[in-house]
Amino acid sequence: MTNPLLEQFNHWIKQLETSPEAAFSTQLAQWQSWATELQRQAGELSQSHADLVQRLSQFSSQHIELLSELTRAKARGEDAQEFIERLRQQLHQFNAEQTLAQATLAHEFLGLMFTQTLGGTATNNAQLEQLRASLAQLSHPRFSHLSDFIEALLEAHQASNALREQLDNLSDTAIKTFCDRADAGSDAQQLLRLWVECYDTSYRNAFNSEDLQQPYAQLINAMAQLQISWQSLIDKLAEHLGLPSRAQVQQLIDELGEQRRRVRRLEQEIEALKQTAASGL
Amino acid sequence: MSSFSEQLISHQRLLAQALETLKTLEPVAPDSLDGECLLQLDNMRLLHFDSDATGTAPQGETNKRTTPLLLCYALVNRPYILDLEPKRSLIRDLIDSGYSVYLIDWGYPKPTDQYLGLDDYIGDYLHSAVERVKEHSQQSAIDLMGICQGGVFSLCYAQLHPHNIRKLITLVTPIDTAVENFTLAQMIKHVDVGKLVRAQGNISGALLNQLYAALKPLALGVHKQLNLAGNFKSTEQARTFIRMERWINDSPDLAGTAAAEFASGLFQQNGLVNKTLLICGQRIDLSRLTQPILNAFGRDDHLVPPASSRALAQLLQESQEYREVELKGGHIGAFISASARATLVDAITQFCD
Repeated sequence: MTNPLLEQFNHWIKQLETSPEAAFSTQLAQWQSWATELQRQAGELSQSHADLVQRLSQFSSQHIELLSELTRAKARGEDAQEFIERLRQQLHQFNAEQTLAQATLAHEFLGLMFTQTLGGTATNNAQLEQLRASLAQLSHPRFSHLSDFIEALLEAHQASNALREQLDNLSDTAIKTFCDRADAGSDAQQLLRLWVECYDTSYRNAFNSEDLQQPYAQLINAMAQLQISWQSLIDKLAEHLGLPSRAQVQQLIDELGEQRRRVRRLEQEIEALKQTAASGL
Repeated sequence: MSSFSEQLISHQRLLAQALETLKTLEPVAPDSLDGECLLQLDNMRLLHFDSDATGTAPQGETNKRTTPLLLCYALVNRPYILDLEPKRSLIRDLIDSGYSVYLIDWGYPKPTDQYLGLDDYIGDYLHSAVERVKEHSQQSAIDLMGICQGGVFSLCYAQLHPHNIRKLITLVTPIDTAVENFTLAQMIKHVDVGKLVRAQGNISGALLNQLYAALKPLALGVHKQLNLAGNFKSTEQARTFIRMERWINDSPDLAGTAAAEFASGLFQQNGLVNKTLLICGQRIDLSRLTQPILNAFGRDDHLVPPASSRALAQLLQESQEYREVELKGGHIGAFISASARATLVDAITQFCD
């Protein structure tokens, strides 16, 4: 692992191993009680905050349990390496889950740069090959909407990969800047702030160039095309079932818009006539 | 450098403090002023606030100003950020300075509003609001202040109806979208906005929120969440934080046509600089503006970089009365923080006198 944040986690874990056990156990117990309290309080917060607090506290519970096992293993003089590895995996998993829970735009998946655990879950190569193979069997015009949709899906996947490649480059730049600027004497908060600054600055600078602007826009365009293709597929099914399609509803909305403008023009003309009449009296 | 255990204990203390605050925290209700609704046109409402709304405003009473001030906020987000709570209220500050304040609330567009374009918003809704303010205040011209996108609307309107506007104030307003570090403009530079609107109808507020958060992905994402407990050190701080979070997440959808026209006309074509923006059949050329202008911008604005706002100066006639004020803060801090607000209100007062 060369990621400085992971190295920082490793550093913390090493410090954990050398902490006085009694004091640490007390801290763990208190931490556990607060995590339970957080779970109880979460229901009284707004939904978005409650979700976040619940995720954090659930993660804390797992984390505390693991740390307790680690402490007990150390007390027994056993090898703690297995627990440390599990702790590392838990941290990775939490980060990935947090990112996946929030991300709807592709670049928001950048949180996954901290971990490779869930990097390949969206679509795997075997599924893509199956999709490509199915396209060859859908050449008949009656399948045109379906094949358009699959093509849009493949294009979106390709655009996603192109953006991910640029984000990887961006991460490399940010990590290099971080390593150059990080001071061994800094504490975790300082390092975190530095990392945030390094990443966000690299990100902003990268957007000054077409290298990031283009793949970013291509992904949004591809996702929009995917949505249009999907709607078109649904419209076709609705047509077969004799249901109103989205396209028909859209046409009604357009007509409603035109009617509204006509009514507003008439209202304005009436208002102008009223004022003319009033000033003439 | 503090040790790991010290950091852990310090974090635990912060969490404990946050829990104590949360235990006693009552549901946080909005604390905005109740304005009098003078006009409702579809989703748009025109609200009026004066010294009666705040209860006591002795300064306002003694310095009462005759020319009303109309605030035109952006279509994105809700305008109650201008009156978030008594201690963070630009509207209250303006009232206390003697202004009769009017505010346009654009409302929440419905799916059937997706055909609404910039001509509707500027040529119909904004114009109707201005006419109603003139009528209500019995003045032949008013002062207009546009915030962010509302600043663009105000500039366009001032050209279309110059006799209705006495003085013009723009706040954190994007002008030149080709300046360096204008990440929002760069993000949508090559986006096929027509296709996006065909796919989505209205552009969802949730999507826009994610777009804004993506401007500083770590600072506004993971880092903000890691520091969540730090916002609950006291009840007052917690209330403000919750109100701010509620506002941040309260993003109306954008009417599809208007969103596409704005993204394409302002951002992609850099329409105000290149004079390609057409509103109500007229080409918007800022050199034709005749009103005195006060242009305020946030020094640390990551959403609309200061260079973008300040480009306005280069687009006006040399003879044009033009003032600038730099505010210490970001896009929202420029009119939320107490010190920036004081600077802003002072600049507005001097400008409008």
